[in-house]
Amino acid sequence: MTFISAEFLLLFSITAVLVGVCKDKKKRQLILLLASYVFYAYWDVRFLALLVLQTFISYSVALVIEGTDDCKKRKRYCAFGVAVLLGILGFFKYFNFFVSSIQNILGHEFEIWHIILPVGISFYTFQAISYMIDVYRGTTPVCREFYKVSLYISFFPQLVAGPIVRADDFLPQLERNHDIKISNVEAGVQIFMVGLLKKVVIADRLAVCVDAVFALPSEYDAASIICAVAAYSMQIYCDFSGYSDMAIGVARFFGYDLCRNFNMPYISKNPTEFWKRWHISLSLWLQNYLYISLGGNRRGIYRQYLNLMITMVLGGLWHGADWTFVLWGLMHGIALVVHKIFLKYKGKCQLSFRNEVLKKTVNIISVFATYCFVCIGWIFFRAESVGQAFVILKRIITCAGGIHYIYSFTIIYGLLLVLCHLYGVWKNNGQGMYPILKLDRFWSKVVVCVVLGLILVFSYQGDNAFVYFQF
Amino acid sequence: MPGSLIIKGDEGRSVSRVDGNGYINASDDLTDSGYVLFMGNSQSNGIQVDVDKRYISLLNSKLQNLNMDYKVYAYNISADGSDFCDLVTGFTAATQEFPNSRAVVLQIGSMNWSLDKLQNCTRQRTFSKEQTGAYMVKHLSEDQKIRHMIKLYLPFPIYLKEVKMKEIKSDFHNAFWHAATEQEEVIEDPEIMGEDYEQALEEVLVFLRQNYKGQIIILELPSVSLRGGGKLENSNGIRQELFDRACKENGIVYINMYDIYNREYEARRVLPYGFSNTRLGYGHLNEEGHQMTADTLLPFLEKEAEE
Repeated sequence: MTFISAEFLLLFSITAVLVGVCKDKKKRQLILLLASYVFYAYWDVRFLALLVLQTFISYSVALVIEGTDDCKKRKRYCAFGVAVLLGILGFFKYFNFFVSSIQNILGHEFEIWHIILPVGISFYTFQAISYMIDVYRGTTPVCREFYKVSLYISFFPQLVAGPIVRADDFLPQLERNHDIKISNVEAGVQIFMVGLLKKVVIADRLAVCVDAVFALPSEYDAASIICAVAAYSMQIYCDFSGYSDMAIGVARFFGYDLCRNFNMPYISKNPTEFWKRWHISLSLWLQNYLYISLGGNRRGIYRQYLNLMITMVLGGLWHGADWTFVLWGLMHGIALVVHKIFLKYKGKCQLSFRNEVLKKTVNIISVFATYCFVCIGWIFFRAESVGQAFVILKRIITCAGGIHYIYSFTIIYGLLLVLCHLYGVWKNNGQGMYPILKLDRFWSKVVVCVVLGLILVFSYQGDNAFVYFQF
Repeated sequence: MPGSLIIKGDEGRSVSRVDGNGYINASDDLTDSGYVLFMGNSQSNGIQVDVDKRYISLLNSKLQNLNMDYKVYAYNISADGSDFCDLVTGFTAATQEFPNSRAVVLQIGSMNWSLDKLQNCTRQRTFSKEQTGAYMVKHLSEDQKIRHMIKLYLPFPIYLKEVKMKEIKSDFHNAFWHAATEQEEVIEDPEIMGEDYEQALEEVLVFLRQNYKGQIIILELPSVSLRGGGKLENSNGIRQELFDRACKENGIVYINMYDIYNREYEARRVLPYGFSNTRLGYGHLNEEGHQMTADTLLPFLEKEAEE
């Protein structure tokens, strides 16, 4: 079930009515939990058991951790819980990858199970881990009500594609009774519409060109491939941030706040800034629960670089079980290390520009260079194999000939996104924002209706699932 | 509806006018004297490209430049979505509506019609003047006109009804079991038809030959797909061989555009289908495709005109 389906509309409407009618806090939360389970089970009921199991493990281990003061035991319990949850994730997500890698090494194929990847397993596993570690670290008090932990892990707006909500952000919200307020409804609907526009108008339309070129890059000329890579950079941004917006909008409708997941990532001036603006909830999760657990920057400069690399490679692997994702993570890891080294030398040599024009020019060049680097990364991210990624790079570098296909929507939507980003830079000091109107005025209502009409008219009516559902 | 303007922008871009007979042609006057009748589907209507770039228009201008005592025109009576069986079913009606044609070109696309449909397509649709575009314009009631206009100018409700509702039904059908049903999907091989198919095709072509004295040309615009290695793949496969053989036996000209499309692709990496606002290689003929089709068809029509 996706947000853009009749099934979701039905489930959402029933849930909204029931939550609206019911005044009791616990009952409201149970309704939301039931809706979340229906939302997840709708895809395949068998995998609901997995979600409940992961929740139960997280809930039980957190209680056990809380039950002892012995630091070593607490650590051992936490490590056990994390290992079990990662074991489940690893089995469902990486078993096929592991088997095919062994088959490649051995040079022959053998019959073995084909594991279906449960939708959203990477997201809810990370949330379950986050809860256990927060309880272990003492940053979140243990929650003794199973339904609350369940609702935190399986809250349907963010269940299958994030944002990855942290326990200390969400669990305190469950202590309040959330009435459905008109201000939340207005904001939620408009944020949802922003996401809908990004997804069905921009991302799905751009997918036409991206899918065509990435299916057979050896047949297209260099210009067409560059155009398709640029289209993919916009597609993945609008698809994923669009989903996040819809999730934030739906949650806001019910009175819950989900963290921001994107903040105009393509205006980043360096890789470090990019990861502060792109998939923010994942970046923070990796930083808090992986990078810091590995020692962060506390064990010397070289260990810090190594920790960064490990974090990014594992972050890449989290996105998908393929060597392309490993390379993508490695690329970003190297870029982050190089940037750290650059900052170190910049500080030592006191490199800085006093001239404003020069400073702005360098900033523009930095934004463009970072965007180009990110796009090269997207080639690995989107390619069907490492070999194909190198074919794409080779064809770009050698200005290869082939089918000339400059997709007109890449140019149209590219210009549109550039304008939106420039507006964000000018109006909000480089920070993203939702254009939310107060709907108490007649013209605001007209604008919202017109935008909705335009979304319907310009939406792509092909069949495209959310890109991040596969993770 | 006759006189309507069709403005197209979702696949290619163009403006077309429906002629007085209800078909998409540059002019109504094309049937005044000897003409070649084109029956086909949306590929022949060609409303994704400018009028003068469509293969029928290109042929028209070239035929009129022939150094002959009389003029030969190409006249399009195609209807979107028609397959070969639909064309055969309406063949008698078409030749009755336009009785003075010198030749008929039947343009076909994919060959995935069912055996049952092929076996029944010689049952002809009867021609009546009430069905012609000119008659409809004069005699449609206000109520019918309004309904027609709603269908024409508000495609979204129709789309919701015809496409989205079916998708929703199928989604609800698989509820709570999608992963299992995705695995069980089996693709049926459309080419397993055997002798019945061959016999039915033979009967259809015999029927066409017996019911029309002039030249009959079957023009196939096959779906092609990129398969790497600088070649295009042809999706119609074995059925084309059957068509070729059966047409030769019945004195019908069969032109399969695949070889031309493939040759042009190998030489210049141009594809006959698709536009810069859609996917190349899919959908309708683009300007290159129309040009290739016109160039291929012209010698056959020139020969026919000379005879």
